[in-house]
Amino acid sequence: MMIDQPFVFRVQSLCKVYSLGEVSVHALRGVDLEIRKGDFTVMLGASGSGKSTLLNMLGGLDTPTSGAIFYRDQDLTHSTAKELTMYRRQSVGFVFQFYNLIPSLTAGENIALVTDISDSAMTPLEALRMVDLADRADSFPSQLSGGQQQRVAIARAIAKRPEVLLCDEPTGALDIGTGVGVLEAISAVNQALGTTTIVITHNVSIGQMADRVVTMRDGRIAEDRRNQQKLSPRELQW
Amino acid sequence: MKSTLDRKLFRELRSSAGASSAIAIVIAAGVAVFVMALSTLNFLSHTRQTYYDRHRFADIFATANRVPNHIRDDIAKIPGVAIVATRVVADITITVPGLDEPASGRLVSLASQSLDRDSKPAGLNAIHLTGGRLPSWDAADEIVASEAFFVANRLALGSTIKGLLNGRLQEMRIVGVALSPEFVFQIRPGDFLPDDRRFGVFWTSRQHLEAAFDMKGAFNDLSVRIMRGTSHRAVISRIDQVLEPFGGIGAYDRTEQISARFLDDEIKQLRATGLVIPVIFLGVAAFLLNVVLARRIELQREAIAMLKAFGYSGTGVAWHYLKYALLISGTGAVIGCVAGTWMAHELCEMYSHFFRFPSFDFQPNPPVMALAGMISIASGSIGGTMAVARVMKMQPAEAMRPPSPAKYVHNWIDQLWTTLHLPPTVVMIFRRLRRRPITTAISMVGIGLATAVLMVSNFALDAIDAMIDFQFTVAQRQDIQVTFEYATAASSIHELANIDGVLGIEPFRSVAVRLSNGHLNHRTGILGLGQQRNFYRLLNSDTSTVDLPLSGIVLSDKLAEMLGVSMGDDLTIEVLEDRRQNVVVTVAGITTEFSGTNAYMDRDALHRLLKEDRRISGAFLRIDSRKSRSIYDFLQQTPRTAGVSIKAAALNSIRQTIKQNQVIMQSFNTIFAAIIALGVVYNMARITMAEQQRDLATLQVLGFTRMEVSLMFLSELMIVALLAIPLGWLVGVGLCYSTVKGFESELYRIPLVITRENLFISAAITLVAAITSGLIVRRSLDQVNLVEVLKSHG
Repeated sequence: MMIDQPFVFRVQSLCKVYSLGEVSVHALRGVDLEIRKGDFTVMLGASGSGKSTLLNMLGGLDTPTSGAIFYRDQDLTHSTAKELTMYRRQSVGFVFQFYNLIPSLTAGENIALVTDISDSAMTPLEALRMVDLADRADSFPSQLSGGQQQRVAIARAIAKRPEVLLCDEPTGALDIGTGVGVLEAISAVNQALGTTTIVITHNVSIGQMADRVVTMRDGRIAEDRRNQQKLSPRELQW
Repeated sequence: MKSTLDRKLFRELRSSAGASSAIAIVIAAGVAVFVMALSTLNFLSHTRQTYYDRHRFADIFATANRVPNHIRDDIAKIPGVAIVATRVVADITITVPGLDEPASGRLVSLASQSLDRDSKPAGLNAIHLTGGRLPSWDAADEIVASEAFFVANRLALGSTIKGLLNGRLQEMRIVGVALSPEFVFQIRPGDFLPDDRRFGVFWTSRQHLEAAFDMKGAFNDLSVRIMRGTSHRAVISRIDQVLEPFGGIGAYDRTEQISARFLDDEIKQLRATGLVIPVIFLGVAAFLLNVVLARRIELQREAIAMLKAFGYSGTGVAWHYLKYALLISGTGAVIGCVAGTWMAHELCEMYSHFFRFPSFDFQPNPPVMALAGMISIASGSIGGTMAVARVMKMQPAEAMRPPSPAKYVHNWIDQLWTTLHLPPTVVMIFRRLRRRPITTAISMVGIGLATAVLMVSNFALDAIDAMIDFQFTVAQRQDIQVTFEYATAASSIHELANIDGVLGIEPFRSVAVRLSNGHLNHRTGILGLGQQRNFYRLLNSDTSTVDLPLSGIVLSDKLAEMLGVSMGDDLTIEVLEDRRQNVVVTVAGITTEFSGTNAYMDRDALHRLLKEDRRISGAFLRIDSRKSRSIYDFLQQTPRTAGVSIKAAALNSIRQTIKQNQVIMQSFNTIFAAIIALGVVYNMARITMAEQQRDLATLQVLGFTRMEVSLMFLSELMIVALLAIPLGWLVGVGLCYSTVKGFESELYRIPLVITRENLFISAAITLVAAITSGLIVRRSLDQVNLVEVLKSHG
């Protein structure tokens, strides 16, 4: 589908070794991966398979032990902390399992936090409209349900119109019904803005709504396939 | 064997070494000041008592003009009198090698029997030889000098000083150096701080003094020891009766003996500082423990739930956390006891030079340490228990659920943010502070207390400076005060006025009196001053002049308070000299004074009261400083001069004395106040960081730079610190006031002076502590694993 699109990420022989005291943990053992613009990728894998490590490196939150990651032409492997910060500021939107909203800011303000520091951002209200929460702009996180909080988190992530949206277990803390709502929001953003989206999850069925499903095992890519037919989040069987 | 929970405890203590040490150090500071003050107090009281007992310090003292020796027997017969000792005592002007200006000396006769034996002195107020020997019985020129004077003037055995004895200049050779329980605090009568260079006490043979002062077969000074249980008042009154015909100037007991009174005051002050400051320190420490433990427990809610779910009892878990508090306070107590004992040792050594005790035998004081330990552990327990009470209440299931986001609601202040269009990062800070008013308030109180303690520690020197300035620059503007041996004809003033270099002169008359109002009475002197005065001014606290009325008496504020009188009240004057008149006068004015308990009258009114011609007791002089040398030379050789007091020299000596003792005390306090400031702010910073870590990590992930995030964190701390400082100033003023009250004594008071510098320095140190702590704690932002923090529940 997106075959003609340029690569957003190119990952080459990526290795990550964590030293935990006297034990070394090989989180990634030579991963090669290319992700094209606009792709909706779901990464599957058990705990410890390396999917989160990979996502963090793509997001500029961690650096590899060896190998290389390129975001377009930028070599993330050799970027300074400041360059990585600017990369995150301009190009990456994050969504986490526990939402990570700032409790002292309203939904609108949480988004303004990001739009204030980016150049081509939409307004907080526009972002909230995309996740169908325009009427809750003035609500504090404590006044929102888990699903709503996660949708605000998505709105915050995409408000600056990032090139990539990285979601780490976005439905992990939610029940099925709420989870579907969140996935719909992610899917809608992907389609409306053409944001390259990577979602990592334990939940195999979520893979059915992606363009591409990468399965990781033991720090390596075990399987990489493209879906011939995508399902909408409502059609997923959990 | 250590239980698993204990292992957890020790590991956590190790991992939170910074915060735990900060609290332990604050506790140690409190304990140290406490141990220092009480050990020193104990040392002083004990050493004083031993000294007084061993050297038979008298209970009652009296002076008169000339009393025949046989009267001694009449005194001995007074019921309750155990020992009577008579002496000849004379105040003289002396010339000291190496000292330009004239100095004063007090010559005291030694008991003759001790000289016969030429061994340990006998009688009352026995001296303690620290070098050389006693004067020979028949050697008229031999003296023993007081150690303070001897050391201050760097004299050697064999040195000679010249004294003007009854108008005759005489050389006196120092053959011995001694201490005396009467001059533990060696101070010239009328001064309020010692000047060891310009005032000395000298002991010599009685025979010599009798000859020099026409006292053959007579005495002019009496010391009495009374039997246990005897009323001082009764004996004093009988002695007064016996001595009245011989010019007795009212007997008095130890509480009015100048050296004893200074020592009592010092002990009283030490008792005040010994309690106030440690209470603040330990209170702050308890508060810190509470805050830190509460936070620790909050962070460990899952672990607590898990322990409870596994079957640990609430009490067991609570005890686990309480042990944390006890370990920290215990460690603080041990460090504090060691540091406090060391400080007490230093302080006592300083006191032993200041007060001149025969032996310096400082011993660590285990009961004081035990008490300090108990207090600190109690404060730790209080702090810990409040936090631990929350553990007891927590339900396992509640704690295991991921926490819901902190609750925020809109209110009118939010409108303000919106109107001002403040960026969300700024709104975050203000909302956090507002949402938790109690936590914010507690942080403010903690930091404010540190500011307050800093203020108090800076206050003492400012106050002493202000007192000296008020007393010696604004009120008393003479350069020299000359006091005659006896009141003399007013014409003798011309002799002084004619000295080359004397620019102005104002005579005064002084007389010893007892002032009474009902059962309240006080022994003091009335200073009769002229109406035309430029040198000796009576002032209100705002330095406006208090008029000296033509009749009536003006009292210093302290004296009025002691006698319970105010303007317009009547007062009885009992003159303690010559005709011993009893007169009732009206209090016509109250003047502010920071030293002594003085009373003033118009000089002519005083003459009328004494039914005498115009006589003067001395004069205040303004001199041309270029001619001071020749003026001093003249005064040293002028007969009748009993004392010459040079203001500049006295001021210099006062400043040095203050430097010696107050500065030591103050540096200890300042160091501890800074420790408190740092300890409180550091803990606040740690707690703020722990609470905000997740939000700050989120911001970093969202693309905020480390600098931006650090600024946000530091801003919150600075806002709290800035809000805390005015609060600290307010508390500080209160603490300074209580210090003023604690220091207040008959001999001197300090004014409540809060200088701009003090406000600035206390605020600056607090802010520096806040910034330093913030920067130290901020470093953890660099080390934080963003991903780990974001994945946690928060």
